Amino acid sequence: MLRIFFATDIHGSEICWKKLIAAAAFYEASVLILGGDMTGKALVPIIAENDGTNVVDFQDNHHVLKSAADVERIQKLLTNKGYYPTRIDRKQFNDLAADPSALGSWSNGTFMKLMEERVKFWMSYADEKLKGSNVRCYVCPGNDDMFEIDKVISESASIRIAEGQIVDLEGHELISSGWSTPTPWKTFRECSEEELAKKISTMTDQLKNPERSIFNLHDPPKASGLDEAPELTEDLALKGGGKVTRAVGSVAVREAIQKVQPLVGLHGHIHESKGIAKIGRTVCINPGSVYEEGTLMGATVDLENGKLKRYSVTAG
Amino acid sequence: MRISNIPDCRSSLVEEKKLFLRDATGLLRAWSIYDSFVYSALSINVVSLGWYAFTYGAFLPGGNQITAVLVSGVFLFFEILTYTLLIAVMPRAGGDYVWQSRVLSGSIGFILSFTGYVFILWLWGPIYGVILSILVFTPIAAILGNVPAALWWSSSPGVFASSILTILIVSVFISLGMKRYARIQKWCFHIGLVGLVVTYIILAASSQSAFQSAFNSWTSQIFGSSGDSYTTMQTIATAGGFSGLAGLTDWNVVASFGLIPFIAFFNLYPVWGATLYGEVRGSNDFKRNLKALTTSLVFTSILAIIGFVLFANAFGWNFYNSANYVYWGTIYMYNPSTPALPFPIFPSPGLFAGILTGNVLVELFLIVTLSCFYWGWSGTLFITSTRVMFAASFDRIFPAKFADVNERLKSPINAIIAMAIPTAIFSYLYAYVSFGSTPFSTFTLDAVLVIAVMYLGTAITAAVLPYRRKDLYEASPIAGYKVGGIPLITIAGVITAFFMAWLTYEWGSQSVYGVNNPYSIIMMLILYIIAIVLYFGFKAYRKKQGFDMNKIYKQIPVE
Repeated sequence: MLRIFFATDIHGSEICWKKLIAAAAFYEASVLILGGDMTGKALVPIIAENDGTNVVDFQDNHHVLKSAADVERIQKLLTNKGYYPTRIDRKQFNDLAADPSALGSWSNGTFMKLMEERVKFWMSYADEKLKGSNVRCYVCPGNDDMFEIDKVISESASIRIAEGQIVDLEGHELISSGWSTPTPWKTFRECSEEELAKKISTMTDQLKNPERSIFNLHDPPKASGLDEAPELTEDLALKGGGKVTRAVGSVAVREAIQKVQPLVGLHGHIHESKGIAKIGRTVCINPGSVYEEGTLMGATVDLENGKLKRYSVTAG
Repeated sequence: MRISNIPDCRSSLVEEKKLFLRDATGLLRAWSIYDSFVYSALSINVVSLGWYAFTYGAFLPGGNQITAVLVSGVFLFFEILTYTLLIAVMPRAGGDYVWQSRVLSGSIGFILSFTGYVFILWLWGPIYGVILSILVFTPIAAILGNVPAALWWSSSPGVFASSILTILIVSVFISLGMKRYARIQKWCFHIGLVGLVVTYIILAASSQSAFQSAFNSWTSQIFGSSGDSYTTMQTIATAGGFSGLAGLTDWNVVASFGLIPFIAFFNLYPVWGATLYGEVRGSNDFKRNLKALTTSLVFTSILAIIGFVLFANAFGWNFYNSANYVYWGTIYMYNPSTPALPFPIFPSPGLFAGILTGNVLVELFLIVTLSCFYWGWSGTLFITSTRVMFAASFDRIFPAKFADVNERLKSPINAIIAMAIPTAIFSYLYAYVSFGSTPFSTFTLDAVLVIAVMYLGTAITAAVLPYRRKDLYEASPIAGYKVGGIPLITIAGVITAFFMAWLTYEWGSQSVYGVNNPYSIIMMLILYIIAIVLYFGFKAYRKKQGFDMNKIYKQIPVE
């Protein structure tokens, strides 16, 4: 029996990455798949004040850090929540806040540097933990991940980039894509439905046993119940107190699943739309994501004799 | 990287949060507090729930309803605090079920939330039905002069018909989806408020003598009652045992505590939308949620208190409570020799306000606009139930079929059926069945008790969360909120748990609430037993299929 553990959208949360690597032993899985969106969304400045203290504002709280241990604790907390803590002095912070162009240039460079550093550390962590094991781990950068991280990942000994590849998993072909259809945020790996359909068909056309395949497609199938995102106003506020949703998944993904009918569809992208849906005979799973809490949402999928034996969702 | 092209919303986030954000999916402005306020205010709306609950005050003569609303409001603030703090730590669709199962245990989470959000809603169905009958259909029929129809809607077949109609309407609301339903709710809330404001203006401009005259004239015209119906109602109440109520200026704090288990029928659920929050970015905004829900509690309490003052001013406090007393008395207490009532229908303040105008169109306008509180509120009957079923089926502890959304109808048909059929059965029991001399409808407050027990479980969850799930708590936005070194969520949870436990004790120990009855207790026990059997049955079934259910909630250890 082949057991796959799938998780997605950890957005820079270091504890979630470590849990992903540990999930192989915990859930007795021989294949780990991270569906996409590895990198975080925000820099949190830890500001050095003139009096020797450091201050940081996040989650509606103002923290005054009096000792190096305090700084270390808050850095760990931020890192586990997917943020990028960055040390900065008060003058520099005020200068940046007052100058949007300087802010843009500084934050671009800092984001890039910290993202690369974190992904690099994650790769070395995985290399160390998975060394000597039979566990295979595939990642597929998602629409929120800048392209520069692909190079960092490709240097890992234990982690493989699955984007656009057909990977053989004991007779089950895994196809993967982290691209999504356009979002209001204009992120890195977005394309039209037509382009996404082409990316998918390029892989599905090469499948030897499509009925035994596994789709790892970041964008969930349209109107599957796995793609219900909060409806937004024009200025990106939530409508109806966050309770009003609409289907934002991909038609191309849905049509590919309907046409090929793989055993399983593994999806993410819409954190709040966790669920399990069936499209024809295909079981589609979006385990959701609550990375900021440090909990790794995931799914185990057991395959045996060319069939889907069982599946379960987890919150570890 | 497009930091230099940050849209306006992100620029403002930089200022508000002192964060530097890049373009990434899901970065949003906060939602409107008003939207959350509307949902919460309808969940405890003063017309559908309040005007029904307030009528029971006549059975506890020492109490003061204003005091009861204020005192319960203080405790309910802590309930709101508990829930908003929990949402800040774990914003989850399925709310109570997820929190309890992740912090206490899977079995407790399933049993308490399935009884509180699913099974007991089967009993709420006919309660919604009776409210529709007595606050909408009966008054409309009476205003139109069709007395047999008015009486029919309040009789067993009428209540059963209203209950079935409620089931159908609620099923349609769910099929429409939250987007359309939220829009309907807003319209209903605004139209209902117009009706309520007009009602209050009419009452404020009136006097008891004017009301007495209008009431006597109306009962004569509609029901053929003769003489001074206004006085007759009070005479019948006194003869039936009504001993009068304390005045609204007599605070009677201790005695008023006895009214709180009745008042809870109306105001216990400002957090009813907690199951709907989901893992939406921004949904864990503690301060916004606290503001929205607290505003709804304060707003609704103020409306209730203004109502009491106006009822006393326009109807006379003694008359209003006498009318309530005799209405329930004819159903639950009186023997057949009880004299015929000059006003034999539910004493709706909306109808009374209409009567004061002597204008049929105004009477109808008030009943129709006020009924919008009912329409806006009614969807809450099944929506939360379906969310809890979804959450449990996602955990594989409930059949996945109940989370299926029918593609053709765009609706969770199986979940709706799972609610609709038992609700129809309970509606029949409620309308027609008695156990000896005890009508099934006497168990109305069971519907509140089972929810309070679920809230008790959630309050305990909140109280222990910082200690049992330190990882979650420390990583949450509320980790810094402490009072005297004790986490605020623990303090709020303990106070809420105390309040829920006290309510449960009162319902269970005082016969006036209609709950401490062997049949009532058996009915509730059956619901808990169904939940226990379902949980452990599914757990065993999944184990047989090769699932390790214990790992579903367990944290992955990291070296």
